[in-house]
Amino acid sequence: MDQRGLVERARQGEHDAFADLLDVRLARLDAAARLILRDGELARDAVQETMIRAWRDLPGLRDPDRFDAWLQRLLANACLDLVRRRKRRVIEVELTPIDAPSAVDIASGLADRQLLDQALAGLAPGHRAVVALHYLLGMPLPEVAASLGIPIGTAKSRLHYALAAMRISVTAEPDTAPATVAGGLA
Amino acid sequence: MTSPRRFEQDVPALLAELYLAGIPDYRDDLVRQVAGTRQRPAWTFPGRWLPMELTTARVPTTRLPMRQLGVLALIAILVAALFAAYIGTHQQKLPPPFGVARNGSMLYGSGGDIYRLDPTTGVSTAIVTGPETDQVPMYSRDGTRFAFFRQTGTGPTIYQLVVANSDGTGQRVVSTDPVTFDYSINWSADGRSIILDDTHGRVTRLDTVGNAPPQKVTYAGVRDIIALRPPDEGVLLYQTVTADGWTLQLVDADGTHVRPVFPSGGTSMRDDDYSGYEWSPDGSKIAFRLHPDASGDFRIYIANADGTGVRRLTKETGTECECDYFWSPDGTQIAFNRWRFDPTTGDWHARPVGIVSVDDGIVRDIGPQPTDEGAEFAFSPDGETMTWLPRRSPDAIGTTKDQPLLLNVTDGSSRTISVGVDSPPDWQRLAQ
Repeated sequence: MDQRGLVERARQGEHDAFADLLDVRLARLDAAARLILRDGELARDAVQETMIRAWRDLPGLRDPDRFDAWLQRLLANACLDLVRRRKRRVIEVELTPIDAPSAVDIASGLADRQLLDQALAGLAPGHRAVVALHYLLGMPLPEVAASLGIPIGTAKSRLHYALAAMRISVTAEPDTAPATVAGGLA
Repeated sequence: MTSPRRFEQDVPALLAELYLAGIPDYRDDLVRQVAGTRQRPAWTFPGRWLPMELTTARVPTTRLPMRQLGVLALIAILVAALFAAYIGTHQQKLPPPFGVARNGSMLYGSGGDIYRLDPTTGVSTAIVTGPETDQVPMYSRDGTRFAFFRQTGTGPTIYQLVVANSDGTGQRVVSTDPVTFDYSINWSADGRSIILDDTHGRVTRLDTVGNAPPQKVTYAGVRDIIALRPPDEGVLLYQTVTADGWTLQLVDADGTHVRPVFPSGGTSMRDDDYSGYEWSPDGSKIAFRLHPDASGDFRIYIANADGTGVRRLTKETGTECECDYFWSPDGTQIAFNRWRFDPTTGDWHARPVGIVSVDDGIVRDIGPQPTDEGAEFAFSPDGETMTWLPRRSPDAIGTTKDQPLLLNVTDGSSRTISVGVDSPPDWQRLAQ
């Protein structure tokens, strides 16, 4: 069954249809939440909040084709609400020790991913939300801006800043030591 | 070295490798939780506008003793008239709901409490305190009451909307469903209700005086309800899809007289081309943001309330985003945030708040250089002063305190209010 049909059935209260919708989206929503929140438990809370709210309010979704955009917006807001509600704290993220790469190459795998992760840890949650929505969930930038309630210029500025930070991290000399990085919730 | 373009192309794959980890192990728990949750009944989300005559049509009932009722009604009218005459001679004069008014107190949230500030003396008094986290107070248009968000602590996105008298007494919760900061909240012109827009195109009218249930406001074919026209809220501006694409339309509040803002055969746009709609205080004009050529340029346009006279307002060149419009109370100026695109670096730079004259389109700066997020600003009720605050990202609300500036709109001079606020202050309107 196509997505539109599944959304229509879920809107009528069919749990199986909603579970089908959930199954093909859950991994990516969880990934986006972990990128924004940098904490697996918090991400789980945000995704649960999102899916329960989506189920509850689904009868009010007028255009089934907007289901994904609506769901992603719910997720972004759930993540940022969680951030607002928590006092600042440091999250320890254990990263696997690696061998230094012989040359800096964006496609070279683990080293770059580790550096990228460090760069993302240094960004504010609002910046990470733009990155997650645009690059992980494939949302167009104007829709990202609308979802986060920020002007398009701000969304572009955040994306540019985040890209610059990530680019600098992967083109700089990598640190070969085992890494523990601090992530922050503002 | 990898080019920026190449890097940007690689980012989605790199992020997917970093964060995508298969179906999470809480999938089954989640499905069980959903199964135990009730959906909101479909009737609470009517997808079509039903004229009020239909929804409130009376059902014939048993014949009533009309003569006796008539006598009673006459007596009631006489008593009411006498009471009104008495009250009329003793009641405080109220300002009009829109347009120029006298400046009153300011409200602001700080540390989970709500404070009232006298902007002349700088004296600030806590009027809503307690263990709850209360934020973002908003005065009613007549300044006699205010609404605010209250965090209930029962879930990550759960807030209530509470209304109180201007001194903080008489608090009552008016929302029946959870609300969040991204909802658009507007007091109605008569102050008897709050128009709640959940930003998904669903608009609800909440009764702030009686105990009427929330009333959904929807219109046939309307995807995103934008704004009801001041001062009587008799016309609705909305966004919809026609055969030519996305467009802006107007419809009378009774669901009749649909007409486009752009003339038939005129410009049609994509979904994201229009935004930021604001009616002028007298309801004679609409300001909106238009993205006319997919270039990244976002400019202020205005149109007359009947959809005629569409024109770009500012005359500045270059690629800019002109956003967040705020009309002066007399409707002669619009203040806005703006960012300029630098093609050499690919970056957007915030500029000071601009004020544009509606007559000639000339823009002037006001206030200091804002943060990358822009500024929060608002005209005072008399239009002579502007409150200014650096805008913080949504995740910093409640965690960062700033001291607002008061800017003289005529000469740009400023003074700081020495209180730390965690959301922009809101100014009370008083009768002149």
